[in-house]
Amino acid sequence: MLRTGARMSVTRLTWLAVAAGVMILGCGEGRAIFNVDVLSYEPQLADTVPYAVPGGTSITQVRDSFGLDLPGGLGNSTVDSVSLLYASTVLNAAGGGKVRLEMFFDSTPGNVFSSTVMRADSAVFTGPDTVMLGPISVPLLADSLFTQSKLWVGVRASVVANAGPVMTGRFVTVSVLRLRIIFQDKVF
Amino acid sequence: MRHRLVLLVSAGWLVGMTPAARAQLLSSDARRTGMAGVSLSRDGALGRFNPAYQAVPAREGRAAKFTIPIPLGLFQVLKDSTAFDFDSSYFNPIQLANYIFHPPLYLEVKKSPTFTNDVEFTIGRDSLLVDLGKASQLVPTDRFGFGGTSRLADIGVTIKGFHVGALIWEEHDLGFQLGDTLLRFLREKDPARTNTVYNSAGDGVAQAGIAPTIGYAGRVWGDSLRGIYLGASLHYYLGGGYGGVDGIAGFRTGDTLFAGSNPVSPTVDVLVSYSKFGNTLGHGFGSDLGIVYVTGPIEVGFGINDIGATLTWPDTRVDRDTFDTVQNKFVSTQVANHVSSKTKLPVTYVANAILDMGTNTTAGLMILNNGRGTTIQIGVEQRVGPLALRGGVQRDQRKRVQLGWGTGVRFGPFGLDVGFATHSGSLSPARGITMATSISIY
Repeated sequence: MLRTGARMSVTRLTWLAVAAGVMILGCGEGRAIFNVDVLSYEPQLADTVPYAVPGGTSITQVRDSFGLDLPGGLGNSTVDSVSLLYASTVLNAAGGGKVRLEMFFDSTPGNVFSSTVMRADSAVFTGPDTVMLGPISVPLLADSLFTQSKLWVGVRASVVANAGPVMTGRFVTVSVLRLRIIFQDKVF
Repeated sequence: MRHRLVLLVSAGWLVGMTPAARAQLLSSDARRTGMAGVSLSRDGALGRFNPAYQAVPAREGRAAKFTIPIPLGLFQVLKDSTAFDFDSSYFNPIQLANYIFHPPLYLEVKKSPTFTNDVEFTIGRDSLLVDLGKASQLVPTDRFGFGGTSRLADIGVTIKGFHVGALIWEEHDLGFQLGDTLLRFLREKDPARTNTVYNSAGDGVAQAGIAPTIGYAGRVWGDSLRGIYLGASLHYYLGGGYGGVDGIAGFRTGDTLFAGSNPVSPTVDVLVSYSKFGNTLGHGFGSDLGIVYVTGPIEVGFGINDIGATLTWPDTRVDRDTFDTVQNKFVSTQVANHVSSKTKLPVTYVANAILDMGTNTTAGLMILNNGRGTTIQIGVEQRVGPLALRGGVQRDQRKRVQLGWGTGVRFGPFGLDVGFATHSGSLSPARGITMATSISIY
């Protein structure tokens, strides 16, 4: 599944940035921290992908990907740090096993799942349950990949079913997707 | 335009919220700074607000003919590239505005410590939460602002206590009052709501003119060792011009907080009234009264200024300024022209006591209310030969205790004085220290 979207326009935040800067200057040293709920702008990212894994087997092809337009200027010296907070939710309906969530990042959609830039989290199920994987915090300034305007995010779930009944369920591709931008003290 | 408006209003808030305590404690005279603002002679607030002091003879060797401040603080300011390096990326216009409104004449030997305060915004397509941290304490629940009344010059002649002359005066006052929704949003971390108005009420006035004055100040009972002095002045205020604003400004959120290119719509509704220079002059009477009782080493005084000082402006124009969301611009419409309006000067009270304890020790107390809060100052001076040691304590307009101390040396008609004064930031209880220096000619 391949999608584009999640465009975050920084111009919407301009008046807030002005207000934040003014308040910081008036209140001594401090940082301006923006937590942007990207998912609220692109609710369709909260898509569900089903899985059905026979007992004693495993699959690794339950996956989804989407594009993110990152706000410009993240590499600016006034930006202290930027991180992406990501979480996915697994709704296990039957069976038991282990679900591992992997996030891949790349600048092109075709190579996203072969990228070496990735983060992972996992959960163990013994029966029907709903578990959130993550949230995983990805420091975007740690790699030059994240200073580009377009970022592709690939989400892959690996399911290893215990011996016994078929492990079935679905996972919500994106449950939490937040961009956290921290500006240094002197914004102006 | 919208961003400039936000910046302008914000700068106004900041300047208004800047602590006035430093200005109250510091004067152009390092001697008074060293006594937490108390005047032991006839200068400063005593001579200004108590007309009876025009008649009270100066104590021997106490009052200087004039005092020249040594502006060491200006050198410190000129090195501040955030305020004067206009082309740099870190140029800070608010810092520059702060310097203009609060000139740092004296040297800051210990800056008031500022703590780290993060400001956090949580933003979604339909949600906005602002966490100002400790800075939320700064968001005022009551009206806040700044202002003052000045008599820039008093020209006239005084014969046997009777004074005839004219003074040049000006008065300015600017105030804000946050609306309930904006107050909760900023102070109580209340999430922003859709289709809601967030605004602030504001009012301001600036007026200036001249005032022909007649007055009397003299001893009405007793002799030079023990007596009562009265002072009274009657002013006929002639206003050259004035401008006033009164209204609300803010923004209204839409159906969705962050959707489209204009997530919020400005809401402005302000009445602007003014009488330009060249119009028929404003006019009105006002008076000052004062009394001083002297008995040996003790003197007690009370003065009150601008009693009943209400000006009538017979040729006023009133406009209504609004923001037209359809045309996306400010629109001004005339409400009335050549109509009468009134303005008022705030009343100021001062009470003081001075005690010459002998042994070259003098102590003083002064309570001042200029319509914008009360200050209480207590100071003492001990002279030892050519040296003088000074100390004082003040409760400032924000009810915080500040200290002053200093010393001076005098050689014949020349005196060199240094005074230190503490001051507090708005959030931190820790104090900074300012050093004032001045030269006096006796």
